[in-house]
Amino acid sequence: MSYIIGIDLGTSNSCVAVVEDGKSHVIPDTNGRKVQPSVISFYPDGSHVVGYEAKTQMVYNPENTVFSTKRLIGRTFSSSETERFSENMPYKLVKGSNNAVMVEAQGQIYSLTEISSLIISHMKSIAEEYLGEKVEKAVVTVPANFNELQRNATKMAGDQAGLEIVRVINEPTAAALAYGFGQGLEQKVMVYDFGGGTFDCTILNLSGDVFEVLSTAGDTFLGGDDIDNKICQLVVNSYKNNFNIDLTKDPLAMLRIRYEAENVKIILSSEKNAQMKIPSLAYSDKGAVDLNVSLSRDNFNVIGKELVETTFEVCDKALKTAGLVAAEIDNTILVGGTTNIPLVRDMVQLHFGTTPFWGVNPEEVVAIGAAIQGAIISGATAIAAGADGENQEPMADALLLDVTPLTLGVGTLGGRVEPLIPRNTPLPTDQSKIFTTANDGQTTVRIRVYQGESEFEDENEQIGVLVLNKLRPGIRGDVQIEVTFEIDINGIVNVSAVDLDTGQKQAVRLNLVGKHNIDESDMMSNDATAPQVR
Amino acid sequence: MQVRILVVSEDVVRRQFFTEKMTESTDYAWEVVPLADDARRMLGERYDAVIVDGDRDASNKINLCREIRSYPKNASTYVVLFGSVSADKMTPQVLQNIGVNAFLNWPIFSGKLIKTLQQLLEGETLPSMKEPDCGAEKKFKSAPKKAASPPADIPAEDAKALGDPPLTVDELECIEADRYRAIMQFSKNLDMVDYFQIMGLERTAKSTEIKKRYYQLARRFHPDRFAKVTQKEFISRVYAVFKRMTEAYQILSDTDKRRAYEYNLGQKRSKENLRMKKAAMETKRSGPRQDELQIRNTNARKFFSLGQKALAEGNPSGARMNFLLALQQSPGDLVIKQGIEKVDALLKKQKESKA
Repeated sequence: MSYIIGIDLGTSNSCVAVVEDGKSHVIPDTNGRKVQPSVISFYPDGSHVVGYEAKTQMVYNPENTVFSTKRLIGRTFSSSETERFSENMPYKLVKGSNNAVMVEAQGQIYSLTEISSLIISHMKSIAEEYLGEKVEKAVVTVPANFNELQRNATKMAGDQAGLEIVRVINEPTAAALAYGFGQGLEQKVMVYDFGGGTFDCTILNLSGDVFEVLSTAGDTFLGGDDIDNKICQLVVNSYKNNFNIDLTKDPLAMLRIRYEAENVKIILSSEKNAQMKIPSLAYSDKGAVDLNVSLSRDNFNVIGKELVETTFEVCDKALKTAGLVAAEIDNTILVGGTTNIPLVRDMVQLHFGTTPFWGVNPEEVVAIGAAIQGAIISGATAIAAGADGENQEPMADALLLDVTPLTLGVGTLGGRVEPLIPRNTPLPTDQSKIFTTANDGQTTVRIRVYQGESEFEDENEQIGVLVLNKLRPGIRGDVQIEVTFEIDINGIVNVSAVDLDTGQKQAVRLNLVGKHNIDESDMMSNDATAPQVR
Repeated sequence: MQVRILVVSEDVVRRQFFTEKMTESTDYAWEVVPLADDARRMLGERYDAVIVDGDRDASNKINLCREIRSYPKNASTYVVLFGSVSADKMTPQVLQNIGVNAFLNWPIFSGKLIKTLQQLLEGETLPSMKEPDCGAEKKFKSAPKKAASPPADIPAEDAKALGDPPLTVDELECIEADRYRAIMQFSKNLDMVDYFQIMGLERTAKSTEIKKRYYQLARRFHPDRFAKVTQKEFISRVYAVFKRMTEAYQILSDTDKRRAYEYNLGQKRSKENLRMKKAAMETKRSGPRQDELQIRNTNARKFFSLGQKALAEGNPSGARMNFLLALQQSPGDLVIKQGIEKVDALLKKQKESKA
């Protein structure tokens, strides 16, 4: 029996699940643990370890222990997020070809895709160990607000791990699927997905077996990590004020604080007070300075409040796009470890006026949803088989109707972006545009492609360059090429082109930013600085 | 499962050709009527193809050709026109304009007719009369055991380029015959159908019907529903068809866009107007329309004014309750929703100042 597993590749933690004998469940590792830290530690001999072992290495081997790479996957080295990130991270980031972000550990350079693929491999082995057979296919999840580069890089990470990624689905949609599959609900739900590194709010309409996304909004740089950072900030400030020591100059100290901060945050979910103790955190002229502070839940709430308010701005945007008010939402589903924090739950209840639903485990629900989708694709709706093994009436398959989160556009004159496919367009979708040459005899046309909501290029994310080459040479404006941009059900962009005069297919390629692209014709052609489209 | 064909011709001799000569093949079921209006009455039932005699009452017949696909059950039916007009005059452009898939010269040779019909139905060998003994689903029982050569109407060079063999028996058995046929028909008629036709909706369809219908179509034609099929050509057809349905759903669900679309279509039914161009999609509204500023439903209005009264008296929670009741009576009403938003903001401020 070939299983399709569901993998939730999270910023801080990853989870793998499968549908077995008609029931979906998380696959634990040999120690019975259901989530695995998304951490890799590299040893001097070139070997590496993933998960809990790696996490303990964070303190002993900070420069060679890599974590939270999901915050960077698909980004460029020169982006502001990368800069912000590298200031806070103890491991080294280097620039790769095509402005890609690479990680350096134990003298070796790894791409972010490789790092993610090592984590996926780890989840794959856990699954294979449990199921007792080779696993070849998987459904992998991404934040709803991930752009083309981030989705592509994630899919490639799966390929590199030796898995065929049959579908990439959005985390909130997967959560909604886990919540509503087989329940025959007629509800409007809001998924509030607050993970380690990202925040997504998705509004869905559930109608029995159809899960239609009405709108989605998010922030791919807002997560539980930021709460940890705020706690770290408190400690740093107090040390500056009391002992005149600047802890930010000491990466090991910062790491130890962050490690403790995360623990304290988790403790404060169930306790009213927590101690942060780090012996010999820093050294002053008077000797070693230990860290010994207690943090109350009330203090913590003051810190976290502002971040949670930011999430509400995102939710309101999603509601507005869907044309709904909070009162029309039947249920709010909480997803992501950060929603375990009582502050978050209380504020969600206050803001939306309804008690959020937390019958599903917020850390496992996404993987479970992915596993269910995998089962649907493999046709294993032996989900129909009852507990007694007899085939009852087949449960209706579920159908996910998702949308694209970001507007897709092309660069035009004056540094502007012309939108082609607006955000929240239901998928699959396509849109065509006719391009032509600006100069006589031009055989290559290059068009910059963007995702984002601004009308200006620099405020959007450039995802790549559309290259039309081997064009029929002619008078400028004579050659008319109709390019069709398609976004498929994975939310991934595909392009095709047709020469309108001949009706023949035209060679076209979308060269994504941050990927090493081989382009021989670029090396041969003499219009490397080909002018923009007219 | 027979192929059902409807034939329309005023001429007795021509009708006899269909009722006597063509019935030699048991794979086809022929229904023959004399007048265009008779045909219109029959189109409440589904036919695989409709054959129309264009020599008499020509303009009415051409109108009939155009109308056939607006009958919900015949949204993907093939239309064959025949007559004494020279075939050169019936260019693909002309045929497309009148919504016809093929033209045949009279007198028709039966072999030629069968061949044309087979080509339209994609060269599939017609299932035998025996019903399969498993389940109620219709499946291709008499499909060839090994993959046949590529479908007949794809030019030879392209067929070689396609590379992939057509659907195998196992794949065909995973999708029901009617879904396969519907996809093939829809994908070939994409240039001739408008948004209503591709969704099988009447022009008078209400917005609730549109959503419901889209969900029904998604259950049948979403690419996930063909997960077991690997042949790329077929999957690209599925995508092409479902993308169009999704586009139709998006445009028709938005009142302004639908209105603009219907207007354009009414002006001129041309290939360009069958789809809504991107520029036209960006309709910007300066504010709610006149009719949206009032609450239509009487009960809703009653609750709403009670709510407003409560708000004025400094009782926002009471106001909220009344607004919610009003919303129940008139779901989706913009005025009521605005009221709820206002009250919620007020209540939030109150809670925060208390905390």
